[in-house]
Amino acid sequence: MTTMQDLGVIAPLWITAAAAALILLLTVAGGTKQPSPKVGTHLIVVAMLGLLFSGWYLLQYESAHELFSGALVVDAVSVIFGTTALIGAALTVLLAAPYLREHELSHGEFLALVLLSVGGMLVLIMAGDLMTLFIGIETMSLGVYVLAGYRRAQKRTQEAALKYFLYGAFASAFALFGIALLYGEVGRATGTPGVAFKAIAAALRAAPVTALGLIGITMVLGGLAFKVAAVPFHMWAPDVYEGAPTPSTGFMAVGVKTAAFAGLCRFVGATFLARQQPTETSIQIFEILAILSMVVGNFLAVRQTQIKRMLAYSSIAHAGYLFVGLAAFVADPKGNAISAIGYYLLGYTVMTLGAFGVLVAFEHRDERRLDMTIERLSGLAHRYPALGLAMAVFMFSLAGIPPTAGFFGKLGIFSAAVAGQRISVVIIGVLASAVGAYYYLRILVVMYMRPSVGGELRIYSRWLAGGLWVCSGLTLVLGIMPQRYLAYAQTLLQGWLH
Amino acid sequence: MSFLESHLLSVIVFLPLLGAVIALTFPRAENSGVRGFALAVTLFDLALAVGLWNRFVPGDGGMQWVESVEWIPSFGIRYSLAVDGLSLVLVLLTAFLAPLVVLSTYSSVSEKIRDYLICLLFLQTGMLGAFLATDLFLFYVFWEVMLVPMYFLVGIWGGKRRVYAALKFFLYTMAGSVLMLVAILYTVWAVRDGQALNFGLMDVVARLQQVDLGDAEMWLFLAFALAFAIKVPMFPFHTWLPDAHVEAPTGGSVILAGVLLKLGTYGFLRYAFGLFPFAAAAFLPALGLLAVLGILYGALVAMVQTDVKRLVAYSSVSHLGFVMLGLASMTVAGVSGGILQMVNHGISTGALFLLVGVLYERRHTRELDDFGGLAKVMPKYATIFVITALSSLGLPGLNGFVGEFLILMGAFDATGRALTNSTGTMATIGILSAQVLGLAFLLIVGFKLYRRQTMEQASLAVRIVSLALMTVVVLTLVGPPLPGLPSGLLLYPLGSLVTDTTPFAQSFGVLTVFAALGVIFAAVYLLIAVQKIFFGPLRHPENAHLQDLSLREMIVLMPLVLAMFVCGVYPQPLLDRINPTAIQYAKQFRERAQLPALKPESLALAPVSHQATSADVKAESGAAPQLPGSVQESPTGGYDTPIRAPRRVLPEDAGMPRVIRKSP
Repeated sequence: MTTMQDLGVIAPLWITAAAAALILLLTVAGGTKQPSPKVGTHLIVVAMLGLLFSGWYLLQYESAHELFSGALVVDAVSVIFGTTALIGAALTVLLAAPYLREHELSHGEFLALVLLSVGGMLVLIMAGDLMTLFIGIETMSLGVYVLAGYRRAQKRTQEAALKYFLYGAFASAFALFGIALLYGEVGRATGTPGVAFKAIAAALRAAPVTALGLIGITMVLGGLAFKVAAVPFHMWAPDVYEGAPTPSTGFMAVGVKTAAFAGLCRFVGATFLARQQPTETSIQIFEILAILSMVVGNFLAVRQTQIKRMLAYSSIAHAGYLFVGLAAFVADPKGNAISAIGYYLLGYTVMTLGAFGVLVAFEHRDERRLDMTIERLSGLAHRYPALGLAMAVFMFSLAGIPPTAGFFGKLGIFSAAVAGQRISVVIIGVLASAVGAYYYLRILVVMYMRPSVGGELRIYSRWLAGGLWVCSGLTLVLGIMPQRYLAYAQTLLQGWLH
Repeated sequence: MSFLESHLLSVIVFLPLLGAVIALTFPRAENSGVRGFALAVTLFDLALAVGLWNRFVPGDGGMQWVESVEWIPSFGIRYSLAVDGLSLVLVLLTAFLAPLVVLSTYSSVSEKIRDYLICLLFLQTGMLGAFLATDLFLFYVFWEVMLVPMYFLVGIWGGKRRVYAALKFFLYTMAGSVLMLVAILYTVWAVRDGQALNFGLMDVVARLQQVDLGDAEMWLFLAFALAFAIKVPMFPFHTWLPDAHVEAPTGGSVILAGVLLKLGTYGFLRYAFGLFPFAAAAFLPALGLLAVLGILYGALVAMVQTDVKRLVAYSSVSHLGFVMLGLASMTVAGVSGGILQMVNHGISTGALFLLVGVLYERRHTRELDDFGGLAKVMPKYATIFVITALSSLGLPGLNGFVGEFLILMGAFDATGRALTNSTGTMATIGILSAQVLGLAFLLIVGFKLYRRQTMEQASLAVRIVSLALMTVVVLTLVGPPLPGLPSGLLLYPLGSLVTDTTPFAQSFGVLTVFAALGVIFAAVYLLIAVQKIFFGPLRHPENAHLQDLSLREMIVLMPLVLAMFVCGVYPQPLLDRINPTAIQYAKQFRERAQLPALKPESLALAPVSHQATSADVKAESGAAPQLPGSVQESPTGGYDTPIRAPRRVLPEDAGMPRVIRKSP
């Protein structure tokens, strides 16, 4: 294959990068002063177009390609997770537009960072070896670190960014060390050291794994689990979610999770599923992660008074549900676990960004009001019925009530786990999600069943309104008519890994 | 065939939802005509439901009007609706109550009326869908969807502790139903057996007969049973109900009691018993016991309530205990009575909640002590209230009686109406004590009613009517068994202590005795309430000028009162449709669960019009002349599905063939 064709295949990657560069150039050309709303608009258009084309190219996928000697793989997983990450980025852009204006922050850098980190996500999603995976993680994370600290005048934001960066750097180092150990392990087993997923799988098949190899696997797993904020690697999430600007928080929750789970699927496929028969222990590892995350996330979320902290714990819980999917994948690799995870992530993306979008609408520049307590939403559903209704859709979806994407996502994941005969984890999962319903409903209680405190105004923006329409529409459409997506994903994923 | 013809069920289900969406476009102002619109939608839906009723083939116990299209083929999920006798009457009940609830909002809801009606319409779609769905997934979706509008109805338009009540309602129900979801998934995967996934109810039932689930069946049954037991609610899962009822707005209470609770009993019959008969059979006595505990507990707690609405709420716990007892007996009479009682309870309790709402709108209190002597101030109101209370406590001639009678009979008949030595003695003691207690209570109530009341305060008519009714109650319960008349309800079991060794029957024999006690308790708490509200001196001057029922309120209540009389005097059309389904459920259940089969004459209890019996029964009966109004058991009649194991047929008891009286 020629280089030109290779470039065509990875067009989604460089389109996002090119769009980011164009946005930066346009920002510089527009001067260093605060951009006027008009300047913001054309930047948003460029960003959206970049994401749209990137996604369009991704959907042109016909058959699997390996590029750069297997460092990048464009296959079914890339398409399914990649499009979800791009949708997440596009919705983040829509959310960010009014937020940045309200808080007098520069549009250009924010949008460029979103595009660059979504490029990193795509690299992570397409990674064919652990080095590329690591580069993907880092590219993605560097962008998100800055996005987390984007409202740099605020102390809490600074704290959030620093915390995220320090913890994140630590986790990356952890993962990198694990990669090094695996590199050695592959060399020991096959004679030629390497970190390609195929090589790792071959090595694990060739010889029984050593203790060092196991430590390596655990460390890489830990690094990725950190990114999705699974218990016990979740400590950073509440503070960072709370302090980061709301659109960044949303992006962090959905984009990073999508990319990291793609990485996890590939990594799990190369290690735990290297042999035909997965051991009971390897399934249990994921089940324990899942149970811890679901239980801790849901129970701690109940106690929160800050919405964003609550959503942080909710995000931990959702990572737990996704880990149930991974456990199901390990237990039954030929089943529909991957497409269930893909569906779940898409649903999670639209409902979570929708929820954050509603928060953006009520978030003010005012210093005193930075605390987004749940009480602040009192009675707002009656003053702003459309926003209230949208929030109701997102909350019911997050809680897993039909007919929403959140419900069908859970059904798919749990169904995959049941198919793999993992009943106990499913029972714990559904009970935890019943607990989860409590705190999601509490937001609706406040919005619908409390008197309005008055004086609140929402930020109005066409971008945001459009974004919320898309989110709520997709949440419902995916929930009522999941067949098209499922059929597409299942056909695409047929025979993946085997 | 027109679209309406082929999609009648879908239209009935989704018309209210369409109405809700259109209602969104109405202005949010008070007088926007949205009430009229909602009324029109619900009336049209009722008309469609009546149309369905008319075109329903009464003699067929199976599914009719089947609609089925692919929905999510990747999971084997179909959008499939169908109706049988069970769902038919519940659909009609739902459609019947909806316009009345909309009418009641003219006075009971003053703010955000548009949103209220949207919730109601949305809720109606959920309920109708849950009754008509024949796909496990589709059923679950409707089942859960219903929670959302009900949650808002209680939470936004409810009383002081509405948020607590709404959350409690939602979380209780959800906690139960998520486990049911796991059970659904497990079942569907377990019966997959190399074939494609399939969530269709009939397909799953058919496949379940080829697949042995082993111990899992018990857990699956329990998961389903928990979800439904919370919904019913059965003792001890009932604690959410009084809170939800007391805090809910009037319309919400009517729907909650009238229809929503029926989903629990409906679910038991169609899903929990229908899917896992083998496990269910083992738990039936336990369910029966819980049902009876619920009957007694609900009634006893209702007696000490000071809040009328709470009293009615606890009476629901008690009444639904009856329904569950009937279903758990798994006899034709029991199941028929249970289904009939679902409808009756919907009518009576719905009316009671409407009546309580009327009082609350006028006085903004529901404390029994705040009233007294209202019979003089509000004679129309008092009359309707008393009729409703009597119907609720099961007075012969009104609807509640027929159902309760059938249930008690069916429960006692659970396998041959028989008890042995020790149990028999116990039952005798139980029956005797029940009678003594019941008489004592009746006497106490009688004293309470009349001793404290001077001639001036109760009009002569009221006294005569209540005296006559009291006499009938006493006669029904303890009078000598008279041929052709419903009487001696408590004596009847005494005469039939025939020997049989099945523990199943024994347990139900005892249960029936205690359940009959519940009938008496119901009389006590309802008559206490009637007495406190309507009789005695007019203690509070505020009550002296209360307005009697307005024309609109009469329009709301009269259809319900009418329904009480019609169902009480002439329940035949209902039974014609219910019985074939009940026969089918009971027979299939007993065969698949390997319980003793029903005796042919207990099938004869079910009065089915002759021309309506299914074809194979007709063929069978060609040889032997068949009595009109009865259906004979045939080896294949009414069976759509293969049978897992040969059934165990008990030898016919010589003393058995005893004609059970038809209900009036």
